[in-house]
Amino acid sequence: MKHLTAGRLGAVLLASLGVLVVCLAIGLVTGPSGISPGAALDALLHPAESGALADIVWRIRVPRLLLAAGVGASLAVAGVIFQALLRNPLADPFILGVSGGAALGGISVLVLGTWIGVGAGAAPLAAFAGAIGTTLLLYGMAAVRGRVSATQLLLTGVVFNAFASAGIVFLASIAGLADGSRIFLWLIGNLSAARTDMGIVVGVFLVVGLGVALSLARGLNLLALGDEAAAQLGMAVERQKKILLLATSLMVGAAVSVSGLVGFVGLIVPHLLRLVLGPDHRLLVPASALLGAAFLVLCDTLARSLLGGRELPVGAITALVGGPLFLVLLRRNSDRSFTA
Amino acid sequence: MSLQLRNVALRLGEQTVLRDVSLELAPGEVVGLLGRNGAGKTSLLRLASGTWLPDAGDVLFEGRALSDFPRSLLAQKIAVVPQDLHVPFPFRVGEVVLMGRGPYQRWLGFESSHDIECAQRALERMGILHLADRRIPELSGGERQLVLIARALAQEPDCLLLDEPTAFLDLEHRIRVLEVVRELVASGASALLVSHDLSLAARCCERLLLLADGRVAAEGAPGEVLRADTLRRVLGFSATVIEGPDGLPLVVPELGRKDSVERGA
Amino acid sequence: MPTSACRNLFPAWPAVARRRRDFAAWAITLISVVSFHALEARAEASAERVVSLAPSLTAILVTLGAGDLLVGIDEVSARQQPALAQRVRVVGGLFNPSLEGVVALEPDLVVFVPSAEQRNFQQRLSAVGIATEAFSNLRFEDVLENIERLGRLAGREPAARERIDAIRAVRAQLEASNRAVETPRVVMVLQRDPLFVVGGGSFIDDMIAIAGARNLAAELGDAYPRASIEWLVAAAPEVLIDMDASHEPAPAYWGRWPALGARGRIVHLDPSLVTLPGPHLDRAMQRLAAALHPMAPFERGAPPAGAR
Repeated sequence: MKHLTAGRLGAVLLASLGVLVVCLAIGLVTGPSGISPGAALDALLHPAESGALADIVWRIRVPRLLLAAGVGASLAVAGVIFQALLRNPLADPFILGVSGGAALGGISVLVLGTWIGVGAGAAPLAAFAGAIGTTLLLYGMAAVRGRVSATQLLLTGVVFNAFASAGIVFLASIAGLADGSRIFLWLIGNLSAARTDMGIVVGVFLVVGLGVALSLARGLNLLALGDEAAAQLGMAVERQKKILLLATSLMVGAAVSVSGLVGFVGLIVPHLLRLVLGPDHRLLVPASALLGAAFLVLCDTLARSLLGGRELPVGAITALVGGPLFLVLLRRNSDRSFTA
Repeated sequence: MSLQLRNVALRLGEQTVLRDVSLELAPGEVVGLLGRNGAGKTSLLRLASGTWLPDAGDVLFEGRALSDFPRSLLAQKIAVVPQDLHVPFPFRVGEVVLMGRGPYQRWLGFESSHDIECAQRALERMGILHLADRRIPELSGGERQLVLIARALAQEPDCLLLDEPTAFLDLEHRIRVLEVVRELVASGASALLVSHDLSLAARCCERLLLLADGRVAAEGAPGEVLRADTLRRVLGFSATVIEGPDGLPLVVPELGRKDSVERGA
Repeated sequence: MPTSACRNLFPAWPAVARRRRDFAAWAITLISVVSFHALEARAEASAERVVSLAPSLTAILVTLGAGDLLVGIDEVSARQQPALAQRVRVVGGLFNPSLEGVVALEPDLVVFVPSAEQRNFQQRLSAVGIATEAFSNLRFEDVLENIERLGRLAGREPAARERIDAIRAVRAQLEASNRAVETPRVVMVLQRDPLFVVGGGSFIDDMIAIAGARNLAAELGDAYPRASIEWLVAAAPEVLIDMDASHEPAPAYWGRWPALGARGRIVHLDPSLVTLPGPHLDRAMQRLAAALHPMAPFERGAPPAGAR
């Protein structure tokens, strides 16, 4: 009988970590300035140096790689959690409207901030507020007999998404030109503004969210059987779901506040991993974190090097890479799959 | 007394699903729960397992209210076999049975060799050890039911609540399930069995409880409950009840006599 | 005024809008050429009720003394010409002008810059029989031509001629004095985050060349491209002209990449001085030249700061 052992978990983590390190290395030596891989590695080993090479490696590529890794991991783990909570492999922060809520919060501050007297620096905070507010709203709207039904949660999410999109478009319409370009980049998902302090914010919430998800990974397995079965198998369902939703919306809020609406990471990474590793969340959660990070690092490397000195938004890459891949996988596995 | 329901009532929205139902399960006893579709059998099982709380009355396990138990402790005492298993992800049979060990695990919860042993024994008892590495979505309805029973066995419960566990099973497996339940009860556990197979229930259960419109309509030994007039009044069909070679009642439904049936109160 | 740099410049609008423009460019040009010919006859007589949908065109008309002909302007023009905005109607933003608002003013001429959004608007105006004139302002010579055409349409030919002569004079003077100094390599930043710079083929690019410098972003292949910070650091400009309107001081922002400041000078420039393809390109060129060559003596006669 196959079952999870510490050895198997270790092997999977090691392999995932290896993939992440390779992707980070590719990202480190690739970029529009055309410095050689050797020079880039040399600059990495001498952080105290100054000059353009040190700036490019230490103050441009490294913060951006770390931010991409943090955002990718956050979105992938959030996807795994939402899929288990809603027992739907197609659930995702975007479908639920949590990303949309975060974006609406952030964009409100970008557009209205000068009128109500707060700077653009408050955008990340507003994004957290938006994500948590959306989650609370979903919970409040969908609660029946003190429990949350997945169907109602999804439906409420769909409706809220429509509301958030309308709000974002409304704000974009009243915004000026420069703010318009910023909103556009938020909507498509973009990491070009990477700064170390952003990485720290994302990292802190990732650590919290990942810690919660790992410690409740067994509970996520039970939730896949349904709330009732999970309760009958000894899980404090409502309490753990609340903790999971809170942790997830914090991760999503942090990720959206620095990168905007990067799509597909939370959907595609857990899907791929489930096909390779199976659905056990004790494997899936940590592997999604590592490979979600690797995936977004790779996509962002493409985004910043494909057009030379001109930038592409990373969200366009993830959607272009993720969409077709997702369809192919869905099709190839439809015969032995889990029609849910 | 292992499990006690005292004068419980349950409302769902406007509808009263259960009213003033009392039930006691003693160690070493199997009680059969009978009734039409929608009579409140599954709701009663949810109250008995602590999944739902009653609107009135008490549910006690070993004298303590279920709501006082931590969930994991309760899951070590009471196991539920639901009607069916729907998993949106392709878990393996072995993984689902091992989830029955969940109440005994902490944190990340790598399975101990004892957990593996329990799960393996449970699979073996249900005769599905060969399915251990198959994916749940590949199984038939009957195989899924066997998996659910194996999962409940892996919980090593003191009290087993089964909701129509044999509905999709062939006769061989029905008999095996009931034998397993009897074995478990013989070792001191108790069981509550929801079933529509009256003759089989008569052979497995010490006592039967007939539920109609959320109330107890009849209760007692199989021979006292399974009587033609009770069946017609409560379950709404005509049958001849004869005594089988084992001295227990056999229910032989009469086809084509629906017209004479009137619904009981 | 915040973000005025970009409000003055259509092309800093996101990439998608620009793609759309490129894509439809030839087709639209064809339509515009046809409609210009159709309008030629009507535009001979000078207009009396004019609506301007671009701040650069509004500024030219006001400078030529034809501000009293204006009956309607766009929001950005209104912000740049508060006095005028008191008197005339504001008919919407650059990208969403109100058709009803314009028609209600009964203009005999609507002037606009042929961006993707306003081209569509032009077709709708033409459909209701209102005369329109398109003024491309991408290149330096385009702007001079716009001054001349607006002068003719507004009956202010002498003023227009005077303005053009003044601009040409400053250009000749700068080009002459440039021969003596070396040409620094420069990048002009319109907006820091997302990073937009002045690329090749824009009137600002032309002015960089006139002022005696080499625009490194010309290689990015777009008039106002979105650039990556890594490209900027690797390009190592000798002069970085920052026209971003945000509150964060330039040294603090660019100090994140010390190599930029170590290898070159970072100069903050008020975007309203140089990014408007309007009537004062002479002053714009002088500003730019002063920023590029702080030691050079050719600022004769130019006011030291903030003349608008």
